[in-house]
Parts: sequence; structure tokens; C-alpha cells
Amino acid sequence: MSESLIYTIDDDVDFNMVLKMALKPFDVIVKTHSSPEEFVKSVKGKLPDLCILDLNLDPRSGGEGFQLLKAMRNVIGKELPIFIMSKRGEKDDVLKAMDMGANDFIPKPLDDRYLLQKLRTYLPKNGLLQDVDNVYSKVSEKDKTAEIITNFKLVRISFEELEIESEILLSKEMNLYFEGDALEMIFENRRMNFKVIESSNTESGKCRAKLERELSDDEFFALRRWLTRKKVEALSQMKNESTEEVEQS
Amino acid sequence: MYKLPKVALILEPDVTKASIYNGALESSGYIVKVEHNETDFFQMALQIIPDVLVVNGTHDDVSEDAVCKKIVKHPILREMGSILLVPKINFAAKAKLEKLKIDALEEYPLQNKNFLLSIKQVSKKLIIPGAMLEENNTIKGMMHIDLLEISDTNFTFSAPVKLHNHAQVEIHSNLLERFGVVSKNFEADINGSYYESKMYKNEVEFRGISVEVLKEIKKYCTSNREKS
Repeated sequence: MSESLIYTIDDDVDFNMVLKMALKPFDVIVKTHSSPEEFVKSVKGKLPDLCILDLNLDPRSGGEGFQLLKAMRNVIGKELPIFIMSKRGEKDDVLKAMDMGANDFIPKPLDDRYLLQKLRTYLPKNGLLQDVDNVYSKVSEKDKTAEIITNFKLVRISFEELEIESEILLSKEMNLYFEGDALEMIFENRRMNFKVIESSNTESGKCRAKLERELSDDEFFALRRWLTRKKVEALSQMKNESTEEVEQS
Repeated sequence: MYKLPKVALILEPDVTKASIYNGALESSGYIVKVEHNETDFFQMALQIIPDVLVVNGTHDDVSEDAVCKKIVKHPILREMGSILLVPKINFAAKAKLEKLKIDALEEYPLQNKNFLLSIKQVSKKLIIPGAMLEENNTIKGMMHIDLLEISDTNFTFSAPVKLHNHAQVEIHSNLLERFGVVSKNFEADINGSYYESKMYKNEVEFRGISVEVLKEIKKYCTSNREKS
């Protein structure tokens, strides 16, 4: 049985990963593109069984998806199924795209099952998507709740914020609890909750995040004591080093 | 980001005067502590690490020289800004205090504006920029997530975090515990992916789980699929 070939284009690299992940269990080959140039090159190389285009490829102009759709219909004709993807609030754009020759639209955020249903309608029968053994089943509402736990490295601490390094990327404004000896050493409190105020990826692929927490009076004074002690230690070390240098010279 | 207040500690045996200083500083956003004797004053100073120490050296039991010397000799206290309130500024005494890097201010008439200005200037001394942690720096972070889907080889969850490939995580859930997967260390199989407004859909593979457990999960998935 031959596998169906699907080309997708979206400037959001993360979303391309979602699409790939959603279609991973099925008999399809998905090739994602993040720029119209790459996409056109692929289409010229080998015609796919289906295309999925994002309408807003360029956040500044927002019209590149239409141009691409028009160009594809002009060059390839009406046979190739083309889906367009759009955020739910852009209904006028969706209608316009359907008028211009799109076969269907996939709303964002992506619903895997909806996409699968649409693909089953449009893909050739011999390349029909088959359920494979490990197809996902939806978790019921009562079983949804879970907790994820991972280790972080505490890098820097000041009155206003805590800086951490992690192997997982944290979203801005998320809340998380921390537990550790370092917290007990500084705040005399082993478990504390923080809010992420800044998050970025480092060159080494790790995530550096700054967190803040509204400190209670006791925590505030405990942090002042700890930081002052650190400052005094650093100052005395600097003094010792400079004395040693003078003695050596 | 919320702004943290400055902290002032006052050594003033006279309750009335202390309440005047306290009022002036509190209305300017300071956290103020007042002590009436030298012993409590030094104890409190090391407890709260104030930005500024305000000392009235006219009390019978407290020699201003002794307090000032104790402040400048102490490795932590000398990092704080200090103001000595004196009845009349004597230039010789002021020069002596300047050597100790302690400011002097006339107690009478104490004008709020000058008092606060001096406090503001000297409290700049204690600047604590933050410290790097070298020891004890591993902490455990916990966050709530939503299990979305489950298969006999993988499960997917939605969370405000994106797992990097091979990230080590522990997942706790009643559903997984039902299959005997308790506090299991998981390794992320693939990169998590952007899903919707700051939420990531992450797929995690079951690894190192017995065939019996996998069979149980498969049974659950199959019956769930049939129901749906």
C-alpha cells in the first residue's frame, strides 16, 4: 500500500511539529515547510497528494497564503486537494479562500481528529489512512489531572527574582512550585511557588528563566540576611585576593 | 515585577521621638523597626539587615562613640548606611564621623524633608545585586498538567512547558498509577510542540514498563476507543 504524501506550509515551526506529531501514527508522509520558496521548490520536485496551507504566512502582510493558493490553482489545476488553515476568528478569510479554490479549512488550534476526518475524505483510497495499533484514545475529564516533576538548576538569586536553568522550556506567566535544599537554606521554607516572568533558550539549548514571588516579611528578611552574607563573603574574598597580590609583588 | 521596600532600623530610647521618625519613614514607603536599647538594636540589625541605621546617641546608657565603632567594626553592619542624630553638629565630631563613614544630622529641629533626603542618600549604600549559587543549587520544580491522550506506547499531555528531546521528567497521575506506573521517570521521546496560547502538547513514550502493564494500557485504550 503506497503512503500518501502531504505538504504543509506554516511559518510557525512549532505548529509544523504539531502537524507531524498528529499524523505520525498514520500511513502518510508529511513534509512541512516554513517559507513559500521551500514549498514551491518541493511542489516542483514532486506533486503531493494533498496540501495544507496557512493563510497568514507573513504576520506583517497576512496575504501570502492567498497568493500561494491562487498560484497553485493556476499552475496545478483543480485536482489537487488543498486545505487552508486559519485561526477561528478569521471567517471572512476562510470564505475568501474557499472562493479561490480551497477544498476545505482546518481551524487552529489544531484538532487531530478533525484533521484526520478531513484527510480521510480527500486522500486517495489506496493511500487511505489506516488506524494503527497504537492510535491514541482520549483521556476522560476525570483522569486528566496530572503533575509533572523535573529538576532545575538554581543559578542566581536576588530580591526581585530567581534565575533557573532547565532542560524544559517554561512559558511566561506560568506558575510552578519548587522544592529544594537551597530554598530551605535561604528562605527556611522547602516548598515555594513562583511565577515565570521571563523565559529564553540559551545557546546550549537549555532554558533560562526568571521567576518572581511575592515574599512574606519573614522570607524577605531571610533573603536579605542570606544575600548580605554572600556579599560580605565576596567582599572579604576580594580583599584577601588583593592583599595576596600586594604581598606577592 | 513588584518593588521591594527599603528597611530602616532606628535606635531611639524616647518613644515620642521614635514615633516621629517612624511616621516620616513609613509614609515614604520604608519598613521601619524601632529599638530602644543598644543590645536589641544590634540583634535586630543582624536579623533584618536594614538599608539604613538611624542612631540617636544622646541616650544616657548609649555612648554614640561605642555604637558607631561597633557598627564600623562589624563586617555586615558597616555595609549599611548609618545616620547619627546629634543635638548640635560639632565640626570636629562630624569630621570624626566622616572618617567612620557615618552621617550626622541635627536632631533639633528635625525637618522631615532633610531627614528623608539623608536617609535616601545613605540607604543607597546597601546594594545587594544578587548572588550566584554554586552549592545546593538543584531544585525540583512541579507543575500541573492535563493528560490528553494515551496509547499503548505513548501518552500526550498539554502543559505550559515544552519538553526538550530526552528531557527527564516524572509524571504523577491517577490514571497512570492505575496501571502500576507510579512516579515513573520518563524520558521525552520527541520535542514537545506548540499547541495553543502558551500551552504545549508533549508526547512521552513509555519505556522500561513491563509487558503486563503495557497490555493493561492497551486494553484500556481499546475499550475506550470502542466506547467513543
